[in-house]
Amino acid sequence: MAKSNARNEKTTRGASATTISWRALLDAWIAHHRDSARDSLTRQRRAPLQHFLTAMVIGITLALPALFTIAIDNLQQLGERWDGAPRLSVFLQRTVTADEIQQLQHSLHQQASVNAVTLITPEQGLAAFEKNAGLSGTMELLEENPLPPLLLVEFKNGTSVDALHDVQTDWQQLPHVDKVQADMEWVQKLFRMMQLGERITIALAALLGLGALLSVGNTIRLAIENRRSEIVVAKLVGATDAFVRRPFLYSGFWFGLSGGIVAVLLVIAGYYSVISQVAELAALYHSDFALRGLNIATAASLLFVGIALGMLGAWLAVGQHLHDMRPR
Amino acid sequence: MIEFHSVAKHYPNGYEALAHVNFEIASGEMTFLTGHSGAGKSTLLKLLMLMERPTLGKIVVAGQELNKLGTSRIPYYRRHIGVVFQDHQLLTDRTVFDNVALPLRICGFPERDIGRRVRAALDKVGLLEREQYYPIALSGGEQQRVGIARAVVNKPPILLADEPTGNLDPDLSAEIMRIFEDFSQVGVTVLIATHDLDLVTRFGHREIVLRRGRVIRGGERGM
Repeated sequence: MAKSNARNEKTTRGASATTISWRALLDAWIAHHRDSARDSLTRQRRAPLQHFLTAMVIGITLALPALFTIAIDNLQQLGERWDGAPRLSVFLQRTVTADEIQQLQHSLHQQASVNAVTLITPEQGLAAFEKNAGLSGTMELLEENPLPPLLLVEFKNGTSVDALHDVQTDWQQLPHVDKVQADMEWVQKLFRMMQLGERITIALAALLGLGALLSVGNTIRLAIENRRSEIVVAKLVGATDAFVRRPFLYSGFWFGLSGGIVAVLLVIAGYYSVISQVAELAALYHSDFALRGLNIATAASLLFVGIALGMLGAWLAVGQHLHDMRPR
Repeated sequence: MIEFHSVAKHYPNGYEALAHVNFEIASGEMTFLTGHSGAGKSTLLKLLMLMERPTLGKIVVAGQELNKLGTSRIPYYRRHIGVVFQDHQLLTDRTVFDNVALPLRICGFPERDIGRRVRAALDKVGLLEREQYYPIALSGGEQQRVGIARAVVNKPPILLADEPTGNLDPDLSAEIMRIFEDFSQVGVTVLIATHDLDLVTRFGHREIVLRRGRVIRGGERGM
């Protein structure tokens, strides 16, 4: 039905202006997308070296910041207790009763800046110590557990070093408290280093991204030069900017997709090149630390950013060209 | 169909390509635009194709004032204007059929209609049996006829030609002109820029003569 009504021919003085139905226009639009995608892929297959080089530029651009991010993520994991939230360790006297511990725990938790208070009993402490220090068996030589009960107090993010220091002095005076220990300077230092690392990564990513954008733009510009006459003719017979842009956007898409895949492979290669050393190192320190690698979400975002870079580069290159063709 | 009102075009380097150009071409009329090279013929056609905009004055095509047409509307305007070039501007990497089909694909015609219309256009210029050839395999006259087929394939009400017989011998030129006459007879407004005065005399249609960017003859209707 729709097809038989596809054209309404309107005759004006012998020559006919034609309108095309929306349905037919949509079909043609989809067909042009399909053809552009296929055609741009075929063209890139015919120039594999150029495709490979452009993909590598995008791949390296994405892989470097991704590796940095993963490294920072692992550092964060390394310091389970150094995750940026400041803590105090409150060692209690060993004579303290369970009721008194509970009371103290409750009253510490009432403080505004406190996020959580965790009790580590002497038994738990011993078990953890044995496990972490790799001293299993040695502890059996001791007649009694030498460890005191411990309250691990975690403060809210943003609690200043000075505030922590005041709290530390105050709590030192509380009954049943033996000693209040802080490792906040370490915490703050590491936190700042990681912040710095994140900032460097962002700056690096931005610079590399700009480079990749220019590189893709240049490659697309070459492709535009090769098809200059085609663009001129298409524009003269009524092609819209979108029509001219489409095949090049698909070129950018393929470059970006390949670049994203290269990035994923590079990150995986980077991961496997250090994992054995890390495992050995962790074994030396009796740590059960395991390197965190690339997860699906990161891999997907690498592909996504790669495609976005490719298409944006193409968009800018074609946009410049189309702008130059505007009537003046 | 085509109206020029005091149109002028100056280029940034100070060159005055057109000045005070006034004329009107009726619908279905066939007109020659003549003058020496550099007289402004190409500029005038470029203004009509909206490849360039006039510095001064008003151009009205099919009731549409071109100055008021935004950049994003230009593609749709051009779909109503067929253009034939001296160097025919065919794409060498595709067949005659695909060259002629290009405007239809751009407009979004269904593939079924494209075949029918392309063959109708090729038939009109006598090249139906050449549809699977590449332009390079055709003679100059044949290439120009492919260019004409491409210009008329979506049945534009206006046909512009810039030196369409520039590289052809007199017989082929006459043949091309007869094709233009055929279109004119079915109501297409045809404007042909040429410096081939013999041809103009021989076919005897209205002639607008440009010299140094000004209309020196033929600006008034009925001359």
